[in-house]
Amino acid sequence: MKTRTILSFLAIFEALAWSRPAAARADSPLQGEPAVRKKLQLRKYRVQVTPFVGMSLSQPFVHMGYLGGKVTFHFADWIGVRGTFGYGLIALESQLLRAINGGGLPEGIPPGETDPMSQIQCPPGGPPCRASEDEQNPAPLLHDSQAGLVRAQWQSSFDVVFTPFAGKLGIFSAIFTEYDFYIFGGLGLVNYAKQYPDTLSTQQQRQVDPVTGDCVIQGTGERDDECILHPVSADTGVKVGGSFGIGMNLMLTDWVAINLEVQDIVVGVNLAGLNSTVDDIPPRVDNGDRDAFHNVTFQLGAQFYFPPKAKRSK
Amino acid sequence: MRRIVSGSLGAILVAVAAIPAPAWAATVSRSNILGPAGDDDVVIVDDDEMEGTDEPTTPAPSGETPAEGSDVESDLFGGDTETAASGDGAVEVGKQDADSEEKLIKAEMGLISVVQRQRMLKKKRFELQPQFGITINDPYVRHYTLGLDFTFWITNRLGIGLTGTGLIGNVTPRYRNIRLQEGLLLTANQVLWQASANLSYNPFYGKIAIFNRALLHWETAIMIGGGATQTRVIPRYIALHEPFTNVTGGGHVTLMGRFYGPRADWISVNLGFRVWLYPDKLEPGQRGPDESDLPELDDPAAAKAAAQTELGFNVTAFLGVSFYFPTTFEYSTPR
Repeated sequence: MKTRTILSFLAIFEALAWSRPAAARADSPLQGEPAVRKKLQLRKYRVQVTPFVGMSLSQPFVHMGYLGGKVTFHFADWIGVRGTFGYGLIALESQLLRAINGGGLPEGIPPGETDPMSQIQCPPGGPPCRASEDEQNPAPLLHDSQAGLVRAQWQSSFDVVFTPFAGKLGIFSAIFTEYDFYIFGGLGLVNYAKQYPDTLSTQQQRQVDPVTGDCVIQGTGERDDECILHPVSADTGVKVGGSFGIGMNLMLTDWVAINLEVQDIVVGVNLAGLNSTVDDIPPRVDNGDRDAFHNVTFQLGAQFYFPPKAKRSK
Repeated sequence: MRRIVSGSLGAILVAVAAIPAPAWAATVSRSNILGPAGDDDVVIVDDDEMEGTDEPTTPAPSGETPAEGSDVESDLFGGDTETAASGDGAVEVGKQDADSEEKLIKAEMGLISVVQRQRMLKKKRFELQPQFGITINDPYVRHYTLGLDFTFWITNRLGIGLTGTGLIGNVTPRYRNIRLQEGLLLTANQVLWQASANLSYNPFYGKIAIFNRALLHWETAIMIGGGATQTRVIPRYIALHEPFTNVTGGGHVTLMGRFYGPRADWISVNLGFRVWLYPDKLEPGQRGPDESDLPELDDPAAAKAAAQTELGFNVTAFLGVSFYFPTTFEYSTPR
């Protein structure tokens, strides 16, 4: 009875305290205290190993499927560092690339064959020649387009991971689990490789004058307009840029979680390997033809935590 | 389902209900508080409220034994759990059957929800949500969207509403690069507006600890809707041809999170993704200046008549702010 009376008075005083103006609440005994006591610290001083599968989003030419891993270490429950690597195992042609390969670009006259309209033979042993009917077509020949095309073969990043949000999730008031949202940012690397490594461009099959840059037809010494007007330089190799993204972990147990993530690595690259500017005379492929490209991937992984047992906060 | 909480918790609730609380502190409806039964204040709890059911039914009269094993008092502050209640409404311990402990546990479990006291109740409230977004799935045409969602919440989880969105679209650098590098002219459309009637359901809700210093409540809504959309072709030969527009039906699926602040009962910040599917008319392939093209398709009406219909879709990521009317709500339960 006595306990109840005291508690009832305490409750009334508490209610009175909350009814005061906002400024008067500044001295609340809860001020500065953690929102959750005895909180399970799922990340602090734990290493997280995350094998994942990923897929590229919004690639114009080649969609990639990745297999990779992430290793993360958290200094505190809310901040950590990580390294990621994903290698492209699946390369699917986009609708646009299928259209290009399926008649969107002229294939030209095969070497050694005669143009049916002009009756001129395409020199044997060299690249395909432009047909007379395509003389006014500004598009490159198919083999030149293919020779310049690159795809994102692998990607890697070194990021700082920031986990401001963590909590419990209730599903239909029946199932509940811990989860967290995180954002990250850092250094990103993307390695580009040729989509068609065996295809050589017209320029690669002609001798290029090192002084003038003119292409000549071997044996005749004549200039090759196709080679001059459609330069190709596949933009292969590792490109360095920025990495950022957002992700979510849905805990299944204290030591394993489902990991969902969207990552964007922005690098400067010329995916087509062709000239895109109109002020180069003669045309050439250089840094001005690169633009900032967003390599966006969606990743689904299983995140394992080590040590497997998490500690609780005070 | 009605349940009873008694003891000191009841005293706290009486005190809280008796004093005007600040805006962020939810109030307790007096209609759900029974008069004291001796020293024991008994409170009827309707934990179906969050499921959007009607207001709690008339409280059981003092002394009447409620259903589902709720005839056992509890003291959430501990120390008094062994106390047997006295007075008319008390239940004699000695008469408890063999299942009483099990019933007690069951009753207590029923009082516990995953997220106790949901931050925002929307039942029978209107929601007006201006939103801004960007399409993320099309590498050739980028749209910025300005929209307005209007929802009436039938229950706390189920709502019906209307959506209207205007889109401002333009071709991307990728579109221009393909034209310059590959010499290809892409067939693409831009979306002008979309409107739909919607059904919303909130299957998930929860709390987020921010740096373990503050708690934020959130909900996730799934919305489906059907309506109309208008698109306009981007002519491949833009200097030669006029575009044509097309009004068509369509539907969408939307996944949206609502985040509620600690104090305001009338606002939330929202983040969502909306996928629209619609049959779209594309510019005919033979609309061009070449000899092999069809000059009669220069006319937009003729081109529209000859257009191919294909399934189009766009994915929009959007950020919105919701305003709720009436601007306040009341709990009818103490939790």
